[in-house]
Amino acid sequence: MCKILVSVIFLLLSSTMLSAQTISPVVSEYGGKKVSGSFTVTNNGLVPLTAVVERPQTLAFENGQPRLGPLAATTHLELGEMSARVGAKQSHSFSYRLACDAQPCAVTIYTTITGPHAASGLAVAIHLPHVAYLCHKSKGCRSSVVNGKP
Amino acid sequence: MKSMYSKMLVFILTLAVCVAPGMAVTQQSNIATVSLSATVASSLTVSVSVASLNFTDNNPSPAFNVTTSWNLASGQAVTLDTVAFFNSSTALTGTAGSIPTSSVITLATGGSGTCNQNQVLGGITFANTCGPDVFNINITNANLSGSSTVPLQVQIPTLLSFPPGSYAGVMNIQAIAF
Repeated sequence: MCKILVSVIFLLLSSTMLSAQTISPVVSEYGGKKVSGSFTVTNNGLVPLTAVVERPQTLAFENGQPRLGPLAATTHLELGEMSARVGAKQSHSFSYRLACDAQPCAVTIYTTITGPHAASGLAVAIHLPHVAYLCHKSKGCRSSVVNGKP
Repeated sequence: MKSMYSKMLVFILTLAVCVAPGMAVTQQSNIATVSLSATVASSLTVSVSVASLNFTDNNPSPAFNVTTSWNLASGQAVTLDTVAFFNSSTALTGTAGSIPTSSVITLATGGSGTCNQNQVLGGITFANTCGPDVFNINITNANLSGSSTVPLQVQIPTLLSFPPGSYAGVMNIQAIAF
């Protein structure tokens, strides 16, 4: 009887919570001409979730202010996969290869994490960013992009 | 004479007992070392205490929590924002029609507002955002890691004026780190 009660409470809780979703690393700084990188989405909850990688965007800075826009033609990003089912308490790594004709450059990759579909009312989706900076040298790469220095 | 031998024997034995331990040589091995290294990647976590919200009247939804947790490296970001938004100017759609974002509002401790706003964060415009930021903080070396929980409510004040039917939509919670 107690087990049934616990199961019911578990099901109720798991069906009403989107729980905590984590992306890691938030920022990656790379050095080189063409690099391989990855980011990990972790489902901290007890319900399997769907993680969908959104269209990558070019991140640029003007006077220190960020500007997001469509992926520049000079930025070449190959994503290993665009979506994944992340099980309860599990992680999934999305790999990519990044190259830029003009360095330094930066891309922002958002991942949308959604729970069960809502037949009526509002479902909640969580969007988490991963930013990759690419320069000749990885050290201080973000600063180079922010300051527009190669 | 016999007494003298006894005294000498006692002296020799005492000497042997006292000196022997000092003469013992302790053997020790070389000190082996094992190098340890660990890497902790920066991370950003957003949690929402509900997966969906259902509306049957004009009243605000029960409050739910939006928690933003971060663990960033120095120099990787200067601001962190969490916003609520819709993908288009339509918040919910159904067989009987649709409910625009202008008819949906969010209520938070930081303020309330409709979900048809253009919010500018770090020079970037986010369309169809709801009210002010759910959460924002300037990142310094003093707060590279932390967590914040904000209670939020959603309301469709004119819900009952829309045609009868079932409506569904997706509200997005997005974290932005620049």
